[in-house]
Amino acid sequence: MVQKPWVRWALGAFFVAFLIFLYGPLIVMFILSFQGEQGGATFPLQGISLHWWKDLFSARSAGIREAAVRSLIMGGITAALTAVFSTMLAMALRKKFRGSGAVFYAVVLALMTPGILLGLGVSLLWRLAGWQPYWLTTGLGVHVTWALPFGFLVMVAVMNRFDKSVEEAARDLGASNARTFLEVVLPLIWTGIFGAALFGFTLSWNEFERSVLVIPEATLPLQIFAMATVEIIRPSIYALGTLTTLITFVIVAVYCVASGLIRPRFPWRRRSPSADSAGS
Amino acid sequence: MKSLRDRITLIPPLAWLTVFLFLPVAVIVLVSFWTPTFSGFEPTFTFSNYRLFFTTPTYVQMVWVTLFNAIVTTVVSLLIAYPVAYFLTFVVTDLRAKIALFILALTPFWTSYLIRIIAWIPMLGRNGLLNMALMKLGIISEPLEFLLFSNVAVIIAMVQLYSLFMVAPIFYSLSGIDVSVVEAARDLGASSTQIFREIIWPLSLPGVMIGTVFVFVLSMGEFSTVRLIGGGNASSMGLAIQNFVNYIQFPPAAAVASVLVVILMISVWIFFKLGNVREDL
Repeated sequence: MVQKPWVRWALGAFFVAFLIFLYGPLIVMFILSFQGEQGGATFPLQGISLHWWKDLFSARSAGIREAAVRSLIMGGITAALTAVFSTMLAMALRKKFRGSGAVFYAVVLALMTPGILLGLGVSLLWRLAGWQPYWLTTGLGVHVTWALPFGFLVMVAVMNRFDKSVEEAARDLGASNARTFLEVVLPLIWTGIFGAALFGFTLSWNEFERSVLVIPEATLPLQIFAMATVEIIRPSIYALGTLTTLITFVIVAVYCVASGLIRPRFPWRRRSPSADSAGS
Repeated sequence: MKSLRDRITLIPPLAWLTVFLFLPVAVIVLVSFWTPTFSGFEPTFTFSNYRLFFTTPTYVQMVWVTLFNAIVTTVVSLLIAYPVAYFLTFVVTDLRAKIALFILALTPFWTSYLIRIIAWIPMLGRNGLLNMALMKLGIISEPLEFLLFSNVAVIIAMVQLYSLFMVAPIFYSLSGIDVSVVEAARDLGASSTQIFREIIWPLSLPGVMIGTVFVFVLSMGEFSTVRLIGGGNASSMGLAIQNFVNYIQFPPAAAVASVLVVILMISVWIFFKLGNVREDL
């Protein structure tokens, strides 16, 4: 589509401004994490040091590391469950049936339910039942509920592009259901499944609003919240923030390359012409 | 029987959602009618939680503040997201560049939500970057106090947190537009304004609708932004729920949550009603 050059430039400039709006605070945080030992949580920089980064790995921060391990475990389990559940839902919803619309909206409802509300509801339910909240029961419960709609929407998008006749052909040739799924369907949808898992991990790794009322033990975001509200903000929280942000960037980059969403051009590797099509 | 076997995979995820979504929301409504006690609640029916809510001016005021912040956040997000999505769809034509730029805009969404809120503190504070820049440029002589620990800060942060929920559906809607329709209109002599008003805007409405609902709903339930950078006077329904729970006041918390659910349901209904009316025209 053709637009006037000034329109294109104006929109381009607007997009760059949007990126600055998104990334600017994160970059400022990154710079301030190298604040000098005497410096505070805002500019100006009182010299440059690794003091606040070392602080993260000192004995004083043992709680942070313990919380990080917990978040890592929970992120992994949430990723696996989100991938499996999203696939199950999307497989069953390929054909329309009575109530399929209701199932769709029921899953999307999980996205639209405010976090604090979900946390309150689960904590009340557990109270009624007389059980104790625990990070791997109530915590995992709300994390998967939060990640499921995202994984589900990814899988629905993948399934929409999926050619059903391939599957029917395999059946006609005598393949069992299990074999058809493993050898025909799975290779075609695995990027979607990994996408769902990616959502599962990152959403769980960063989840706070749903967790605050139902996880008595500290996860990383709960620890960050405590650091930001109980104590005076110190640059070590910026170091921690930068670290978790970098971890997310690495995971997203690995996913993009592994799934073929983005194909980096390595000058030493000749690309085949077919590699140019952007598959996902 | 075959179709039943196809649907058996629905059971585990739906069972999960029953325990961790449907039942909890039902329990909230139930407990909002129960009597608070020192250690929690007892199952005696009462309206007192709602009476307390609607007769206390602070709480009614809080509902308006929450609504106001959510509406401003939604409108600002739409004004920002539309040009961004338009740029990605119609200006960037190379598919690789399009995907790369979209992922670039999407990535912050995967980073820590709390960290993105906290990162506004050195930007907006009294000695923050924005005040420093404005003073260096001679636009202001005294640092602006209202930038941080205020409603302004909450809205800025929420727009940054949630605008991607607006960009993604609008981008999706715009990508579905057949460019040849636009070319045909141009060949028939339509001006750019006409093309936008008659073709592009109506076809992007479903995306606008979905994005609006997402951003509005997410900012209505917000509490950590308000808690972290909203300052002492800031309030929101989400924060009130959290505060009541801290004082082991479960039934009043449930009452606030139920009012929130009702407001959300009515708003979503209005949005979709508006969307349909516009589509019929």
